[in-house]
Amino acid sequence: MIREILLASVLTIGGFGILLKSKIPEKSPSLWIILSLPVGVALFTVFNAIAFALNINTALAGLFLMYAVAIFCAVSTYGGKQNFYKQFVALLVALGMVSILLIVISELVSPILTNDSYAILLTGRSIGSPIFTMDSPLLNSYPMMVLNFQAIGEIFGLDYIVYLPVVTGLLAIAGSISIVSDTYFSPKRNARIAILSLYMVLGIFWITTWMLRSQLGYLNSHMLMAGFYSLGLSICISRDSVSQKFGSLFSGLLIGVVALIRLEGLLFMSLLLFAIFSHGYFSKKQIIKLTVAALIAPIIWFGRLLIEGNRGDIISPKTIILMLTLSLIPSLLATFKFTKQLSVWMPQIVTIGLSVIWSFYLLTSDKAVESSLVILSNLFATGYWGSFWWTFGPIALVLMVFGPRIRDENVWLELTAGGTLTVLLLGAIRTNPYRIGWGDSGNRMIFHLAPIVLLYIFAKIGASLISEDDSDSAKVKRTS
Amino acid sequence: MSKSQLESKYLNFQPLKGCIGKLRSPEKRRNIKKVSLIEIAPIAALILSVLILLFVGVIKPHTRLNEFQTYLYKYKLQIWYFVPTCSVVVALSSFAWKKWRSVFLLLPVLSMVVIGISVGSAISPEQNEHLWPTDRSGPNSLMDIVLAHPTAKTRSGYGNYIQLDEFLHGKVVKVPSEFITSQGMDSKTLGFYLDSFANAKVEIDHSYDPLIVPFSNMTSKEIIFEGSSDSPKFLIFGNADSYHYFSNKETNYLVADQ
Repeated sequence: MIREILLASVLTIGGFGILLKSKIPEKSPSLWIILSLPVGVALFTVFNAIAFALNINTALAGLFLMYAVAIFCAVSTYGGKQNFYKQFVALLVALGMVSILLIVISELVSPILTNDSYAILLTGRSIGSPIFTMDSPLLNSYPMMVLNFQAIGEIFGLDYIVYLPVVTGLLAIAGSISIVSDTYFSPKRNARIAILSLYMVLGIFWITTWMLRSQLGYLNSHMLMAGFYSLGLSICISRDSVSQKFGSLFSGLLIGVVALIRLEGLLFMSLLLFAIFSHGYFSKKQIIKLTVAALIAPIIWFGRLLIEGNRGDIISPKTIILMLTLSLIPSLLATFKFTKQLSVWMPQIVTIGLSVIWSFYLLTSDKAVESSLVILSNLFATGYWGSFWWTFGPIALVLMVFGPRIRDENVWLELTAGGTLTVLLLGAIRTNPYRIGWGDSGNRMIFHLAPIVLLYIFAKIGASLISEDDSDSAKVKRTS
Repeated sequence: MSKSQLESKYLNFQPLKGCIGKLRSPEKRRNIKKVSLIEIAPIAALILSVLILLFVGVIKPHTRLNEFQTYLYKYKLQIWYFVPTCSVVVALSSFAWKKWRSVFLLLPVLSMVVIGISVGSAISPEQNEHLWPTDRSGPNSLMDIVLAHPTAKTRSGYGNYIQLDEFLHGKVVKVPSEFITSQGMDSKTLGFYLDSFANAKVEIDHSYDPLIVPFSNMTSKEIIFEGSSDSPKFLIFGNADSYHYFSNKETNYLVADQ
């Protein structure tokens, strides 16, 4: 555990330094502390994806590059001794929080390793060995970020890494809760009470639901995906306010890293890009910065896999080309004047489009029907979700139809319903339909959507509580 | 007093105008927007898709609907009563909120969550009984974890290589190039197994045939490891700093170079 804490600290310090360059330390110090580890992990993964693709065969490359950027950010924003002392205290808090979370979770849940986990270990730990080359078909079967964790784990003398990705995902979820509450709850006192209530509800369900609890000890990338997808969503909705916390580069980085967390991550990243570019006010410079930050690592990583021409269990060169092309569309639509309005409507168009395609599959393919029914069966009975979806499924659906329309409703709709439709469509096009049980990939992918469904309900409640006076004061605060 | 002064003193509508403005201003509820067609369309499309799923699921005779109904039947009481009740309550509270605002949405949703928790607790034992118990006392070392794995294939498959760590850690193991083992594993993947799980330093040796097992050399060497017999056997002959890999249909051999 000490070595895992050491590695977590190294990544947290890196992320902490990088965030100095953003507006977050000034606007929300608590968010700065929460997001240090996820940001460190994101940049470490992005750099290593580029390094591995360029035949730099060591996981230390990403770490060194991340530290180079972190030191640059720290030096360029140095604000005197007084500031340095405050930042040092904040860093200690961040390190303490990460260490405590790691210890507590490792004490609560023992590691769970399935066949996929061993394959991830096998592939990840082979990175850095003299016989490792990028033509391994295993790289097309397992996602980059979790492989990267295992690769650096070997350097730190760890047999496997389970809890660090889990804590990273949890902190990313915590960060998104903080951003969503800041956006939809007013005044601040209400927001604090709401956050506490949400943590309590989430905590109760996490303790009593096997499917959620098991993710705390499961060696795979589900916690990471759940965390970074909800963080991506919160970045999309926080862009639509005057008090933007994330600049274009940070937004791009945190959205782009989703592509490296799962093999279908490129699809979810595209959903996020459609969502963020639906705020039509982006300047060309901002679009370029955001696009480069989001797409550079996925294009280089998946491009390299494409060049190698391997066909893995999940993705093939053809699917890589399709997904990469799709991921370029949001930026292109946002760039040109005559497609800008289309870009604004894209969340709605994407949701409608996915619904139409899914309906078409339902009418023409038995596999699609079977996969969809399996997903329903898993959500309600066989996927070890307890009463999670019985409770939040109907609430979210009913609020979606009859509840208050909230700001960025289209973004929420695209990322929750569109995300679910993407999972259902993957079940329709894969070789074998989804199967009954918790370990089914469709059931595990639904876990990625669980936090944002909760956040959606949370945002709706927040919006319903804002009185006109609160709204006034919030508006004044934002514009002043 | 001039007319304009009188008007400003007695007919000052500014506060009233402010109030009306406050009520009508679109900025008032920054988080609540009016519904437009483009916002309704995706929801309509979603509802239509779900209806199609239900229609196709029921109509098509060859789908596994009955099987799924059996699974759901287990929780009939909870699902059949709680889900519709929850939906109706939240829908009604949404309408009530639209009329009276305040906490008309918060309280019903919160009570549904509380009921959901209590309904869930009734089925908690069976929904938490699992092959992989998420307990505190499970194994932590990779070796113990793999040996506790529920399937024999994983125990012997990955377990064999993880056990080799004790004998091969830091040692050189030479594997052939472009060779397929009797388990269908190519030499590179074999190298990955030895590198990742046994922590050996794997090198590719182009100059030998792994099918020619040097039995004459091996007789003088002690068998220091004998892997599980669930899969093709794994034997290590001799104790040295470097080994060569050999294979036949039944057995994998690692033979010390000295």
